[in-house]
Amino acid sequence: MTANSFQSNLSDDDLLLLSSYIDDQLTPDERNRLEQRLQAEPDLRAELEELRVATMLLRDTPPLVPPRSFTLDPDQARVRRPLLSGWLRLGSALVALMLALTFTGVFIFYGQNMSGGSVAQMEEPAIAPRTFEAAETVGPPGEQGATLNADADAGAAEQAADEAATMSEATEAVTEAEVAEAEPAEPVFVPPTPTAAPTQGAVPRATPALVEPDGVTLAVPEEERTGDMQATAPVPEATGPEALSLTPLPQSPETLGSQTRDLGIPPAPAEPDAPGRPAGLPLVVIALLLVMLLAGAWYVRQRRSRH
Amino acid sequence: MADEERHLIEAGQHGDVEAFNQLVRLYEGRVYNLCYRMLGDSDSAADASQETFLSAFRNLRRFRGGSFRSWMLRIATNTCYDILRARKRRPAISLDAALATDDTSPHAFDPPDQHESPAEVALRRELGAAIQQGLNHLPEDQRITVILCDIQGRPYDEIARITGTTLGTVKSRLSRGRARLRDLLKAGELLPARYRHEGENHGT
Repeated sequence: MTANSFQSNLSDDDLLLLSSYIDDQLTPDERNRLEQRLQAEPDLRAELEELRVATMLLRDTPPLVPPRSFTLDPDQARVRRPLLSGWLRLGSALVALMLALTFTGVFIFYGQNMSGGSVAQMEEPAIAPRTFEAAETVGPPGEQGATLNADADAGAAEQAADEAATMSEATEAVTEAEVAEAEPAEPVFVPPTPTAAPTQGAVPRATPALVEPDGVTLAVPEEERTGDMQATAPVPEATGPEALSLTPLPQSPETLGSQTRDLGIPPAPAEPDAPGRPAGLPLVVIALLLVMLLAGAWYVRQRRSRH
Repeated sequence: MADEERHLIEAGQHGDVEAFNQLVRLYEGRVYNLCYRMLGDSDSAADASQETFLSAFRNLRRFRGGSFRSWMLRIATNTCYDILRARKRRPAISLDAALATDDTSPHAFDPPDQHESPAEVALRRELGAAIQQGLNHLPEDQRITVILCDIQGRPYDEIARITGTTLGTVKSRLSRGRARLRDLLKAGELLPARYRHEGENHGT
């Protein structure tokens, strides 16, 4: 249907005036002004007549007969009682609220406990993953065994020492430790009594004659050793297995930092307050659920009240 | 409000179904016609009418006085809006089917007047079908306003109460709806020839 070509050019205001004029809804003043315009404007008069015809046709539309009666039978008309009566609904809402508050309290209490014991509990978990990481960086035991078997070959050790000067990967660091055995003048630091079990097996075998029980490197001049210890001062503090990587002593702290990054060792221990963070999460979730529940109840009530 | 109607309403509010059914008989023609003009087919109109009376009975306690007819027509209007909204969500029938009308059904209208000739009866049905097709093309808010004003004969303030709008909105929707219906009837030649000629004569 292409009604557009038949649309009039009347403004909405004029259409409103004509429609109200047909229904006799204009004030006397408005009516007088419109009638003056109708006398002067034939187009407006034609529009009025067309609208009047359309309105007349609508009013003449014959009424329809309902196809059947819509009377209600008693069974059909029985008012459906809600499953829960008013007081019961109020009671259940209160119980739900108390449950929500109880769970909230439990979550808060649990979260606080986690925060209080976090330092002690975080020590072990912080070590374990890094131990595993270090084990990965050192390499599989088979490789280490192969490397240790090559100890007897001094020429190979010397060649490896030359190469190790430019290497930063952990597997090569093990070879470098062997070089230190062949050349005692090379400064080497080995941490005292590593605690990470999975990777300890290879380490003591790698340097049996090199390290004293206190972890001080033998055959190193005092001044050199002191300087090296200062240079590697942060390393012994770390009780984690990063010490197991048998990293040769770097020449400067900057070098140490870069090698530490290469090994993928976390620079700092885990934050002690980390477990306390999730404690607020249940509160937010419960608050969101309550808001959604209230919004749903409001929507259903609005829909029912429309009738 | 007539005393009898008030008594029936009070009885219905106390659960008297038979009293309420007397109200149903009073208003079912008006409600069905509104639903038919809004929805465009007799099956949907019958369903909407039944739902309207059922909803009215279940919510009769909320009726606080005033015009019971307006209250019933408001429920019918909201029921029609719900059905139209559901149709938009689940368009199970084609647009052509939705716009089609069964006004030409021989049982759709009041029984013909004894003095009416068969030609006049046919013309009356043809006019009803044309009007319904035009109404089907109107936006819903204009459609309900035109139906309430020009077919149901309700005054502006009652239409405003039924549709939950202001008097200005009613006037605006009515003027636009009438103008658009006029355009549709002219453009599509929906009207029977006799009515078209009458319109032309009026226009000249």
